Amino acid sequence: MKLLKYIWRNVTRNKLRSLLTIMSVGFSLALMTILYGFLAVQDVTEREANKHDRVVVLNKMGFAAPLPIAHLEKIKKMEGVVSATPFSWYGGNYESKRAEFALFGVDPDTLFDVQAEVNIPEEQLADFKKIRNACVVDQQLAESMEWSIGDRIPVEGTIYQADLDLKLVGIYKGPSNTGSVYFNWYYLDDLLQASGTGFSGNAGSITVKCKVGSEVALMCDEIDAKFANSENATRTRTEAAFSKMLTDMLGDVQSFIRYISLAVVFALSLVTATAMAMSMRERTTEVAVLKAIGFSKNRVLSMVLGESFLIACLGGLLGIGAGLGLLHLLSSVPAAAILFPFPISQLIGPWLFGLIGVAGLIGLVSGLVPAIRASQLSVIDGLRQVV
Amino acid sequence: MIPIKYNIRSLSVRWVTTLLTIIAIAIVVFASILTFGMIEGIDNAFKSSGDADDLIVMRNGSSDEMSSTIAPEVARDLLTVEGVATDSDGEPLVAREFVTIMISSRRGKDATANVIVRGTEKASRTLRPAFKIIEGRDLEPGVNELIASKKMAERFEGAGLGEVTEINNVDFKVVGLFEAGGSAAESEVWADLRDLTAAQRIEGAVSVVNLRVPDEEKRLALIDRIKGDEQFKLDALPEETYFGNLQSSSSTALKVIAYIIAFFLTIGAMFAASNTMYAAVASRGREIGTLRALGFSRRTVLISFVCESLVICLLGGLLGCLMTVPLNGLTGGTQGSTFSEVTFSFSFGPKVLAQGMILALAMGLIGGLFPALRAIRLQVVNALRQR
Amino acid sequence: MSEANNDPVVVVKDVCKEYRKNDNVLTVLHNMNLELSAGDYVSLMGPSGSGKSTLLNLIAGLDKPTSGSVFVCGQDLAKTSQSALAKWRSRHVGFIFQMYNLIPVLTAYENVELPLTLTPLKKSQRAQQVKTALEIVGLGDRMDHYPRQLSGGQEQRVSIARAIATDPTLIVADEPTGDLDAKSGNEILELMERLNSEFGKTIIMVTHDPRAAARAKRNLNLLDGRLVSDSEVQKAEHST
Repeated sequence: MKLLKYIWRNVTRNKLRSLLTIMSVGFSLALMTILYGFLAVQDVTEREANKHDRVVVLNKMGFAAPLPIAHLEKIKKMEGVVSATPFSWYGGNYESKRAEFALFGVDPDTLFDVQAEVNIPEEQLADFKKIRNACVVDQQLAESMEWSIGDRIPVEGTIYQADLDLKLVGIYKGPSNTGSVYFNWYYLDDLLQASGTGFSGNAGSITVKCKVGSEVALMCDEIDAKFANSENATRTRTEAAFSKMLTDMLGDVQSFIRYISLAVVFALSLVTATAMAMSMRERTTEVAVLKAIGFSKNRVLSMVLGESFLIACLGGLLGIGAGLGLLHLLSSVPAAAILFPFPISQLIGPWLFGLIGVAGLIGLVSGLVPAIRASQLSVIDGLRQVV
Repeated sequence: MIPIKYNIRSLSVRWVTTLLTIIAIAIVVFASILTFGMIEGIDNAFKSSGDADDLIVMRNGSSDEMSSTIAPEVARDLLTVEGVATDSDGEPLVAREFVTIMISSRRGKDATANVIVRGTEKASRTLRPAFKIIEGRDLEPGVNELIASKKMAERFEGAGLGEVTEINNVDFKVVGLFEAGGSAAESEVWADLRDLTAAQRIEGAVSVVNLRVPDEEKRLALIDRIKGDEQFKLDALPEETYFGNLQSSSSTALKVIAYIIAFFLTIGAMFAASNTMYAAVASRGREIGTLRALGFSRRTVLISFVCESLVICLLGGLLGCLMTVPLNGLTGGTQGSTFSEVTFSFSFGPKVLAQGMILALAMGLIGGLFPALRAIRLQVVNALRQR
Repeated sequence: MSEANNDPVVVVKDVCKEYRKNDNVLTVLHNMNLELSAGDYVSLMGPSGSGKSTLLNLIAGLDKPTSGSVFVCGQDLAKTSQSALAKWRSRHVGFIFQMYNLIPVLTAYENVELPLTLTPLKKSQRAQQVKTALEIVGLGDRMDHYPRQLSGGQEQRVSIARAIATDPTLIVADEPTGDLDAKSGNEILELMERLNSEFGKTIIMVTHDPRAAARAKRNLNLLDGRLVSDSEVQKAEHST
């Protein structure tokens, strides 16, 4: 008989208590899985963004300031640039309320060169290039909105005083769910010029595809240097830095999540420690017998620690599993899909092992005091308790 | 009725277990209150004057100020509409404002966020609740000066008193810090309308017009007139409605997260409380038998044990509330629906604390009920025979 | 047994044991001297507080004397560290308790195996020893029962099997029949006699029961921490 078997029997001795402790740890770890899953999305986004040798050009002043379309042609001609497209945010209303999807004005001729990882059938791309009011949408978005090719998607401008009457000509599929509709930037610009409101010619932002393997950070500096003295100076970031900037906007919510998690871990350690202390108090005589028989201090110590470790890990694994399941459910809700653009399988990373580690640590920390007390127990006192 | 003193004595006999449980529950309640306090703080940050007389005029279809534009000549017409209140100097309470966002670095962090910069007119100040310059002085129009809210000055580089910020290659100097009763304006940096639009090279541009019309009939008539004008394509809505919309769209997600956090933590803590109470019941079998033999009814014993559980949880709840005291006034930041920074103060008002205590109450009731039920299911004779 | 020479197994020499409670010093054993030779079966009697349990604890290596020395199997227990004592106990001492003190979550087999897990024996060797021990106590058919499925007498027999599983030199028993009815108690006493006569175990047993004491070879009587009588038992009339 191995010690482990005995430990396991001890775990299952007071089934109700162990179950309650496991559930307590489980619920909290499920919560942490969801919270950290949310943070992991940001990491995956940044990691993905690093793969494609792309940089994003904004006006130095940020999103709200205009970026002249003339910059696009200049950038395209630069050494080391493969292709570039405007990415112009069009905040729109769909069916009289704020659209749940993102709308971007892009250059159909270059978009799928810049985003080479995104696939679209040849003939659909040809239509996108040919038809002025054409648009293409993400496959997952098309599914959740129940759109199919040929549908009209009328949107009402909120930033721009121009309404778009878009026609769906293509459905694209990429590694992540962008939840976006791409339309022809020049179609919007025509409408703006015609209305004379003076917002035409604004590219919003420009995404630039650089040569594979090039030093994208240097490219950023080169682009910024080129426009430093123009009326609209630019600020260029690598795609990863750009998505980090978007994440940073979440501000203190991220650190808040970490603080909450810390509090949860602390509370859990106390909960598990209480349960262990209760168990060990009921087993005082037993421990004394073990020590009389010749169990060493370390053996008693590791037995108690092993028990609390096992309980916490069981709860942890259960909770992490449930948390991942909930994340999966959450990512299939359309409104939350934007927060979780990746399938959950892509989120699996070292952070999960970190959480398992946290569960194990809770077990060890919470078992420490009861374990030390058990190992220090005097055999005579322990045996006397019962008689 | 079994006197509560009996329960308190029992608790103090097992004081280590009791204390650990109380602390664990306190931490859980603390974490929940922190979360609710954050939500409450964010809600406050979206509040405007609360002055029902104030109207905000923006482009029809725009859901926030950032995406609104009003033609300059239309904005000028609005300066002279009928029924507008006047300030103590007899000047009408109408303000044309231009809103833009600027990417700023967070102090002490390698992160950036979008900061709202608002071009204002003199009446803008009176139209904000409790607007007050608390350091330095108000800005002078025409000389490129800024005033920043105190919170923004603390959080962003270039927003502190005496610091210089570059807007589109034009230097602006911060000459004063203001407060505005915790309202949305406290997430902003203010410039003069003309200075800002000149720097942005869109002179005369106006995003929104704020005005105060105290007379309800005239106000409703004005709303109708503005809405009805086909030419204007404008919308006028009470500020309360506008900020209400803004708030609901941006804090829903956070609220959902907050409730998820509170839900999971509460369930986890319920298991913990339950565990402690089961142990209490198990170790007091003979006591319970004695009480029943003495003639106490099942219901009385049940109530007694639930009370004991309530005492533990409510003490934990109180401790959790106390733990938030040093955090009152703690500020944080997150992004609003317009991707711009929203600063907020954690708010632990009576409502938030009550929510925390309700959670503690739920933990005590539900966590104590099942162990108490087990206590009364014991057969008197068997219970008395227990060791 | 290998200890064929006549060296005593237990030597208690000038032992004093004091307990300090607040400011009071309570002397439990006064200048105790005692020798037990291999194959002895000693009963230890005396009223409550006479120091018999304390003496037993000292000989079993559970406690240390305030002064004097205790040699068991040649080991000076007073000068041995706690952790070394634990290891020593696992090799040389088998325990039998009044309340049996079996581990409730382990089967009879596993309870007996427990002290063997502290030895470097292989699993198959352990199984052999466990089976032998359980057959000696007559419970070869109850190996997979949990303590709660056994009667008091059976539990005590498992406890004896546990005590002999490691083939210790010395068996200490603290009122082994104290919690049993007369019939079961008698069975246990017979078993202990066999351990002594057939297997040559040295046994020291604390008891209140004169009938139990009568089954031993030698009777020691303690009063107020002093040895008041030490007598050989006449066993002419005893039948197997």
